[in-house]
Amino acid sequence: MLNCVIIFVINLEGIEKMYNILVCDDDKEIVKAIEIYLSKEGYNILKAYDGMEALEILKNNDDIQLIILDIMMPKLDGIETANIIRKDKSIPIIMLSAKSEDYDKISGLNNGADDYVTKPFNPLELIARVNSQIRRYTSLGAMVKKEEDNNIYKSGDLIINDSTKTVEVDGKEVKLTPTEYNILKFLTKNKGIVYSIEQIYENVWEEESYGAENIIAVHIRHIREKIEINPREPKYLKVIWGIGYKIEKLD
Amino acid sequence: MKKKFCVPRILKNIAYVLFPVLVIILLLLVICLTYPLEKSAIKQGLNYFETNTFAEDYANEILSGLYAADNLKEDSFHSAYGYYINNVESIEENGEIKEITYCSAYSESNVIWLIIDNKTKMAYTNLEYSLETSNLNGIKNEIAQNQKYWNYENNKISTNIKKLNNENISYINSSFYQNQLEKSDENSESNNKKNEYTIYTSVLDDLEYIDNIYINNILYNTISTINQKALFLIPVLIIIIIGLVPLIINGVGKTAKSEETSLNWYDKILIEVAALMAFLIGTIGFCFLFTITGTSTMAEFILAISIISVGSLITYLACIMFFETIVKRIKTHTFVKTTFAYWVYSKTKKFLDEIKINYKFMLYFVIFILANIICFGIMWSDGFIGIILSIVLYTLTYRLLNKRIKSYLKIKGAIHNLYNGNTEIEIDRMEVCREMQDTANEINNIAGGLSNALEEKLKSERLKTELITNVSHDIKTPLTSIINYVDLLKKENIEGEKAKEYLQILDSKSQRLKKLTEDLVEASKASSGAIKLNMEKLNVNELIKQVSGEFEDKFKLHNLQEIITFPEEEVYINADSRYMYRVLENMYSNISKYAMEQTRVYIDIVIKESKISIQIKNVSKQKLNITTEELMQRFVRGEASRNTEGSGLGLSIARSLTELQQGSFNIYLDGDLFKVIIEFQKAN
Repeated sequence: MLNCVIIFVINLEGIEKMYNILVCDDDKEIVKAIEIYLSKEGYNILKAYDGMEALEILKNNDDIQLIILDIMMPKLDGIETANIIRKDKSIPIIMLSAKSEDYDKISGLNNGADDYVTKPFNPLELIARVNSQIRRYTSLGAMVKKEEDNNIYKSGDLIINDSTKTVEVDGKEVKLTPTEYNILKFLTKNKGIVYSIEQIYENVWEEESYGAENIIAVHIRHIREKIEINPREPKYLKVIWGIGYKIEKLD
Repeated sequence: MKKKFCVPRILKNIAYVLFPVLVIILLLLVICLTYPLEKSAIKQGLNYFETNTFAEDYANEILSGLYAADNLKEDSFHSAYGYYINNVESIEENGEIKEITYCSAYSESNVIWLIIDNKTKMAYTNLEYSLETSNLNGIKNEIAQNQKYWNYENNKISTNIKKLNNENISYINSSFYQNQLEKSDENSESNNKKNEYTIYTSVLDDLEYIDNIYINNILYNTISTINQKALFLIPVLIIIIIGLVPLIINGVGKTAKSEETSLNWYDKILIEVAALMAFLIGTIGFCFLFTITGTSTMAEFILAISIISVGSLITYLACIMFFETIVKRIKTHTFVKTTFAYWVYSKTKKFLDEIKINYKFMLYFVIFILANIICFGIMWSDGFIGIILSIVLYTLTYRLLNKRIKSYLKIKGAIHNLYNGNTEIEIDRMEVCREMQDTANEINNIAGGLSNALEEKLKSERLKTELITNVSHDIKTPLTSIINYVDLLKKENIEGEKAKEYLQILDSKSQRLKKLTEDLVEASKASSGAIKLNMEKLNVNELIKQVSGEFEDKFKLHNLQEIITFPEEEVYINADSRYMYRVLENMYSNISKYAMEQTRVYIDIVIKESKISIQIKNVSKQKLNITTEELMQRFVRGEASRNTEGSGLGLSIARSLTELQQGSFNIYLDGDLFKVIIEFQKAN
């Protein structure tokens, strides 16, 4: 609740322009619920109840910044719709489906979706993902100038500024404790590489590990809770169980 | 399809007729070539008249002439022999005039002779009386004008026939004549037989009459001519005959109607019986050939020839019939099966197959004992052969036993495999002895049935998973609306405590429904094995640290103290990282839900030889009046109320996932102590 309100406030402040989101699902109640949530975030919602309708709206309206697509729909399903949209448009697409198998997600992402949310969804998660996609789509290239700085480590939309000791995810600042910050900085600096608890300990604390600490694991979980939209399905800080942790290389 | 070469019927019939004719010609040629016909003489190109055959024939003619003369002189009625007194003439001999009476007869012989009995002054000739010369000198001239002659005069032989040069043909030495002489000796007292006759003989230059000399001359000339050409003719004939064989073989068994080989009753009887029949018929035909002996008249001769022809034909037909049936049998692949040996073999096999195995064993045993006794008997008389036979007998017995033992072991192994759950067994029928082939077949069938049943079970599990997955999709869509609208309702600031409480219940139940749906899909997937595993080498210590890091806050919330015992070294297992977490997550979350507050939770990593076991112990909040088996079942929880969070699928999912990753998952209950042991094979 609190989180939601904070995001709400931040968005109200940051948004000057109303972004248009096309929501497409054959279940009218779900579309309505999404509309209620996203309208509160200050988005303008366009509604469609099957793939054909969605395509029709897209044809007549060029000013759409995001599409939320269900997969199982009459007439034209979400996968095919996404395929058709991808032929001439680079608008971000979030797939929203009851299908939760790995191969469903993979086939969705392979067919032009930028993100995949399973039903029943957590409204806060959906909102966070929508915000993330919109921000990426509308402010692409804004970060380029910062990349020159030696003290900046980044992966995707995770940016660590070592000069100011600040961490930014999806354009929002995240508050971390010094230990958490050091762990995250170390992993982001060496993004893509998997480090075991012992290795992280030795590198961050710069002293020998005694092997019995699970403190690192606790810290990592806290970091995940702070920087990830869904800590159970992390985007940046990945857990490889039984091996270690890494920051996903997202560039 | 390959087009079969077909011989026209007419060609086949011609071949049938031509074949025996050519064979007979070939046989004659071979006989001619191998006939011992004075090969040296032929080589020198010499005439028949220089051969022994001629000399013998000629000598016989002379002797028969002498015999006739000898008989004539005792019989006054010369005419009875066809001789009659032709003339009486006076001749001067040694200064005295003598009277000679000469008899002549017509004889169809190429040897002409004049024999003069010096005692009785009688002359005999086989020259015709009507000869123009009616005196002895004329006859002598007639004889002398031929090139081949043999004369006996004043104890001297003069001849131009080499083979008769010596006195080997002398009438005195002739046993034939000697007998006659001895007979006459008894009657007359004449001693000096040598001077008794004067003989003039010769062979007609142009052989006019058909007698032995004529026939032999013809034969001789023919054979020597043939011999010169036989060396060329025989290969040609052999080639033609060989060329005819495929034509005949191809045509055999075909009827005018069909091109297929048709069999008649004769082709179906035992080949030995067929051979016997053919042999008997052939022999009957062959016997006809002997009728030629003892024929004298022309009529008899013609009859004999026709009988011989019929006999030959019968023999030939018998041969052809037998040949045809052999070819037909070979063509239809029934040759071996119609032999007596095969018949005996198949009957014995059938008999052995039908009798019970214990009787069969008895039979074998009796045969073995009898063979043993025979062997010992032979050893008694001839040690070496006896020992050799014994070795053969024991080797055969050993092989017989060995094959059966091997078959037994094969079947035993297959059953053992089956018992261990390996249904991929197939005993090769040919590899076991005949007595166990049926058993082998039955085991194969059982294995097939089992494997089918297992497949069926897997298939039904997969269908169940599919059904659950589909149903869960259909549940999820309305559930999405329920969860979302409950959430929206909560934000509507509804008045009244009761409404808020109801909303809270709706919220928690809809969340539980969501969890239940997800767990249900996962449980069915895990138990049906419809999960793709990505096996990696995992560090167990790291894994436990990571997982306890995840649950630290929850444990603290329930005042649970976690005590982990790590082994001194790093230990690794092969497992899927994600699913391994799911297993431990379920365990940890169970602990945080069901462990009694203010207690310690023990997590030990123990190395047991080649295995690594993760042992998790905690004290249950509730009384565990339930068995481990019941606890492992789906939807069962350690409490009866079912009111708390959780689906009751956690343990079931954990166990299924562990077993999928080749690990073992066991629960032990001891009072309120709840203990889970997860074991994996140690990875290098």
